[in-house]
Amino acid sequence: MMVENPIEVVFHPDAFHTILTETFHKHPAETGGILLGSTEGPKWYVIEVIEPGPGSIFRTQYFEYDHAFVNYLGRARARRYNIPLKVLGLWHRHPGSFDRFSLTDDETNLKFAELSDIGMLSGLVNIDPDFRFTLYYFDERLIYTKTAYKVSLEEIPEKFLQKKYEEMIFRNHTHHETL
Amino acid sequence: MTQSGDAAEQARKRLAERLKKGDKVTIKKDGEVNPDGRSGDDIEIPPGKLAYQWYEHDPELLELEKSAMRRFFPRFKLDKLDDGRFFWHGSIKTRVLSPDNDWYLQVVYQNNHPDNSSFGGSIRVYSIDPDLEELFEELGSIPHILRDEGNHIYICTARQNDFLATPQESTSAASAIAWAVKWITVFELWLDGKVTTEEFQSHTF
Repeated sequence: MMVENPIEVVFHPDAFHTILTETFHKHPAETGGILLGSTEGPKWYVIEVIEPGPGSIFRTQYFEYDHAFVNYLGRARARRYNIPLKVLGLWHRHPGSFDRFSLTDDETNLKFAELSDIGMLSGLVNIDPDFRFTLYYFDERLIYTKTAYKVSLEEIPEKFLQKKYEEMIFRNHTHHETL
Repeated sequence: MTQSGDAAEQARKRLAERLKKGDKVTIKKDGEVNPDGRSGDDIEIPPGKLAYQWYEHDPELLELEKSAMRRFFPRFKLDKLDDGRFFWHGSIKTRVLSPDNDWYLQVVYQNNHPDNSSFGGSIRVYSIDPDLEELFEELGSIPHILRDEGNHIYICTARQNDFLATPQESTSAASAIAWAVKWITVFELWLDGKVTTEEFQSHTF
């Protein structure tokens, strides 16, 4: 079943910071990453962004992420949460002001859309000359809808941020304090 | 994982295999099936290639490239690599070492064509047959060559300032092949001892 557009997307500040760091670290080459998070109806929460990995190819007009790395790290990050994260999409940088998808991008976006029956997100970063992030929502028909987004910790429900073993940290911490 | 540089290498290998068998040379792309949406340990992220392609931004230039190739090298065929880059492939003949010597070439446009920020510009000419990597092994070295990101040898066709890359004028694959023919001729003269390594290495020719 498709969700009605527009969906509302909220990025965890750390997740969005990963996009900024990765963009400027690899500048001027293309780079990108994977968006992980949770959804609740039309509200999509991007909680983690996975870096592209050491086996990636970074060129000014071509980017290919390290498939094994993103799967390894993606699963590792996803399992840390009480409500395990799922793949919400991807992002990558484009040269200049080109903020549409190429046919090569379409092929990859389609592979992501096939993973989900509620659609996917694909973000484009342009530095023209300032950082600009355009987020699109799409499904298997590859009809892209520009989607507004926020970066906010407060707007992400606590239940999606709870870590699986968080209580053990507090328990151990309390124990040490009493010693 | 598949390296972009290796996509061209894989295509060359497939072309070489088909040429050896005498098959018609075509390249097909494999489809891929991905599992349904999952979370946690079960998530599956598909392989991803993301690229800007010059021919989507400037389809008119692609038509001009095709037109130039039809005019000057009509037997060359246009095909696409798995990473989205277009390439031409076909044979040219030289008459230095023998009266009818065939070279089968792969001519690959880079994503940012036309661009002259590096030697050879944004069109790379590889020799599939003979294989310059094998010749390099046999000879110990070959002067005046270039290597791509995957360390594969391609022919040094042009200096940066010889490769035109402006909105008004750009060097075509047909020009790159013409330059490659010149390189091949000098290479064969070098093999025949009629050109010195120093002469070949310099941009005398």
